[in-house]
Amino acid sequence: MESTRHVPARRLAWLRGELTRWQAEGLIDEGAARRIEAGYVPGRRLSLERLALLLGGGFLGVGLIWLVAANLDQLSPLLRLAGITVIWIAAAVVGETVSSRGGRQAARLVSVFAAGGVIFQAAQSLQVPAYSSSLLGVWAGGALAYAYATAATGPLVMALAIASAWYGWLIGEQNGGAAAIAVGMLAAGGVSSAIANLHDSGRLARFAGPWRLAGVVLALSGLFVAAFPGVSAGPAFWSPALGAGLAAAGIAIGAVVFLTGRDGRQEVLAVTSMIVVALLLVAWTPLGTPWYTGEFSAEQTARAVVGTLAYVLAAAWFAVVAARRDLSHLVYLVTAALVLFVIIQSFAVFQPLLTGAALFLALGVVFIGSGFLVNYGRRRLMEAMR
Amino acid sequence: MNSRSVFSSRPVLVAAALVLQAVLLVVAVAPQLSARVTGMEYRLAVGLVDPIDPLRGAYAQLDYPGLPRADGRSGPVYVPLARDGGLWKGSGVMRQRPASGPYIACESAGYARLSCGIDSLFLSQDKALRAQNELGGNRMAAIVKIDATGNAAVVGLAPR
Repeated sequence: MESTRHVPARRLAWLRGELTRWQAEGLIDEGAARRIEAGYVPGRRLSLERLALLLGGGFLGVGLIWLVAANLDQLSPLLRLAGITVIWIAAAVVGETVSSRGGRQAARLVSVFAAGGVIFQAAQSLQVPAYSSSLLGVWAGGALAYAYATAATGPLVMALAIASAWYGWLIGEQNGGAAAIAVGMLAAGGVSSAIANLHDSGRLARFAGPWRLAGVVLALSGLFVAAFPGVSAGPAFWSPALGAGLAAAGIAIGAVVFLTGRDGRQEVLAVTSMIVVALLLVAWTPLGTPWYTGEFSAEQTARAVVGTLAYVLAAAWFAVVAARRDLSHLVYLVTAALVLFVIIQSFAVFQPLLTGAALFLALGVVFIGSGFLVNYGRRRLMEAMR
Repeated sequence: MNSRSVFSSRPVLVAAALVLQAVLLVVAVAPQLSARVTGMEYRLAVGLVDPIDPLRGAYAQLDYPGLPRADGRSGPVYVPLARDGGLWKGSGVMRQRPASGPYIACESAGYARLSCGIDSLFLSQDKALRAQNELGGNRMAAIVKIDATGNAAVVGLAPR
């Protein structure tokens, strides 16, 4: 007995078009086409009810954390801790038992927030010193375990966001400066991309999406900072946290190289090259006036150009990966990141050389030109192969 | 219904995740918990500042005039305590754990204050304001519980 599969409406339209074409080419007959089409149903778009539930879950969660922060001492600390623990466990139970899918998602969201509330309430009651990153790390680890236990993408997205914030904060605590944070973000991006590729062929294939998104955001953020003029490695650059991050990236990337196919290897090796480029960029400290004075030495300009090129190439690579996997939201994200970068860099760096508008025009011409070239080359290749 | 073992069924996995989160929580607050449960009370002279930590509400950042500042090298340090009238104060900074006597285990960043786990006191918004005034007058002492391995936790304030 087959089960019907939900697919987005656009994909269903494509399938119908393909079925018509295959019938015309004589590959399948009408009966087969009808049977194939019957197996697919258009999926519902994000309905209003589900949106309301998710939004409600988010607001409830943030409200819980805020409540913990308010430190109401009308209730004793033990009572407050018991209260938020009950909410946490209740939300987790509701997330598994309720029948509506939207309700389950909302409950899991609340559960992740409430887990954070439990951690912060306990820390508050026990007077754990403020400004320690370890609490965020504990929250992230717990949320990650919960995401894998429930096989739900909502908690995974939250866990990845919290983990990224934790790692960034941890590196910042080591006083390595912006350079260390940039390289640290890239190392985290490497780990995320590697794990995304490991998920692609496994049981939890839908977890690959959030991991890949995290990888792109972290890697581009890291390169963004590293490409900025004036960001260079100070004496406190190397720290145990940064070393551990790079080691973790190395192990994860190695695992992908050995365990997955060509696509996976390409992706992680691209991220590896980004990490190396960032390390070289922060090691490069050209002499000259500080960047905010607007006057640059030739070496500073060279570094700025190299940094910009590296970022643009990385963004273009991620756009290719996203297009290949049909992830349109990722393509939009990368485009937005590119635009943001060019705007900021043009104000900071290229004012003497090229105004922002001229830079956009130049880049546009370059991309269109290269697109035509690639297309032409691909068609010639296909013709030669026939 | 399915052939997977009971250990990989969803409820068991979720319960295991919740247990793991609880364990992680205990690990995160272990030093302060240990100090509060097994520690002995000491009073240290205390002064202050008052910012707001976004995730945890109003707190008073505490400064201990009786405890030494960092001596230039970073890493874990130990501060033995000696009596000073009705209060206790730190007598030097050691790199090795002292064999006897009360001491606090701290983390040194090489410069400025040592970080000993007793740097902040959480109070509700209105209490924080009053505590700020009293602490600012240098009239207060912090009641600190310290356990046998140097973990310390602040439990309250009292006049000197």
